[in-house]
Amino acid sequence: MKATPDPLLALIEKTALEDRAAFAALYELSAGKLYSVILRILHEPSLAEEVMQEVYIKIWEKAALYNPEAGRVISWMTAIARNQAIDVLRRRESQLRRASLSDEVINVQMQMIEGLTNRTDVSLQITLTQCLNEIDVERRQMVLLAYYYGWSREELAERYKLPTGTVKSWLRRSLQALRDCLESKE
Amino acid sequence: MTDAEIDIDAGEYVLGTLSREERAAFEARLASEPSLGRAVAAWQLRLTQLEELADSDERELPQGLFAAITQRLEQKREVPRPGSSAIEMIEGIDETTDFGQLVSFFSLEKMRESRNRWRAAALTAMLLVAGVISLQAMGLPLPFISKPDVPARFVAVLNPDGASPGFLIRVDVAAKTLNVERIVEAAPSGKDYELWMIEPETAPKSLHVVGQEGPQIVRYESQARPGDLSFAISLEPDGGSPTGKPSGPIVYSGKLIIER
Repeated sequence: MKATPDPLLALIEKTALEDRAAFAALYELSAGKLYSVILRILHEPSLAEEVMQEVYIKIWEKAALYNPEAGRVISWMTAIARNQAIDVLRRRESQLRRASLSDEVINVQMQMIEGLTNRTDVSLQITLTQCLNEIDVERRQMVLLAYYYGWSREELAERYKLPTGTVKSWLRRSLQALRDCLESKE
Repeated sequence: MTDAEIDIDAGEYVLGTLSREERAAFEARLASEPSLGRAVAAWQLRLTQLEELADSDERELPQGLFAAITQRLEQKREVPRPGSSAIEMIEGIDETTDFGQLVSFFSLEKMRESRNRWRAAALTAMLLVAGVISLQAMGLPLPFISKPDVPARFVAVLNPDGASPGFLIRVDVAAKTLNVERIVEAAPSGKDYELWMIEPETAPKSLHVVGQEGPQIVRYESQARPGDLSFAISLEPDGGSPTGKPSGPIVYSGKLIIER
């Protein structure tokens, strides 16, 4: 997709051949990023650590499946990490209820997602920013809270004082709008 | 359901807003619908761009994390290693081999497109370890395993995406029993997991409500070859499906493939 070489490509290819040194290097270069993605969603360091183990075991086992056409190595790894974190979050929803998040944490999250679409320094992602800005504020916030912090429909419904069904249909329409917009600008 | 709706389902799956049950049902569908896998990959590509917008506040990693990962990989090696056996298996097959159970999850054509033979083999290996229902059979004559004295294992794959295992099933073909062990959490309150056996071209046959603590022995009757059997787990009302057919979502399923 992008012209710049992917620094992790050689490492993932060697990992696919069971090269342990390459796997260790891949870990060194990516673990900080993946850990922050997982911790952002799960909040609990001990749980995030467990998920990290699962994620790197999957990366070791699935390395041969990585296809450069499907994005950069770090994006592929991030998708595995997010998916695993969301899995754990949904399976342990009752213990990890967002209700336990303090207002302070929620404020930080809201500020973060609000700041995103106003950034002007992220030249690579202009299209994405434009497409996000075409979505109504609240609907955009919902997508971003779900993506970055793993908010469920129920949690969004509570925060935005809407029926869960409405949240669901808003999320789906927003995703559709985002997809159509990104595709139209390709 | 229209293609457009299915694509948005994939979007919601990647976004993470499907409920636990919806996620499980979606992942069961992923196993049998290649187009769904492509839709998921496209959504991952779209949505992970969001990472580049966010500040990358890398956290300090827990001490000993990498050591713990390598230790777990070592432990896995002691169990039958997915890589070596699968590579040997794929060397021993050709297009006429009765290998449908395995390649139904990933077409041979796609394997041919792989950059090289090793990659295809490794891919197969990955499918083998992604087993959701793992079936161990004793002393079966196996068509493409060269050493029949080596105990064979049947492995069923739920999901090429590598979802976590849900249930482990070992088969005693001689005694016609299944040893069923739940790996995931118990069914939600008021619900039960029900096990179904699917023989070729027949409706699912209920085997039992499963999922208690600890292993559970279930008898089964089938004239079909073990390699032709599939198993599925549905989420049912307390006590099992009232209709004799799966009435709730299929949350785990797997066809048999053979591992040594």
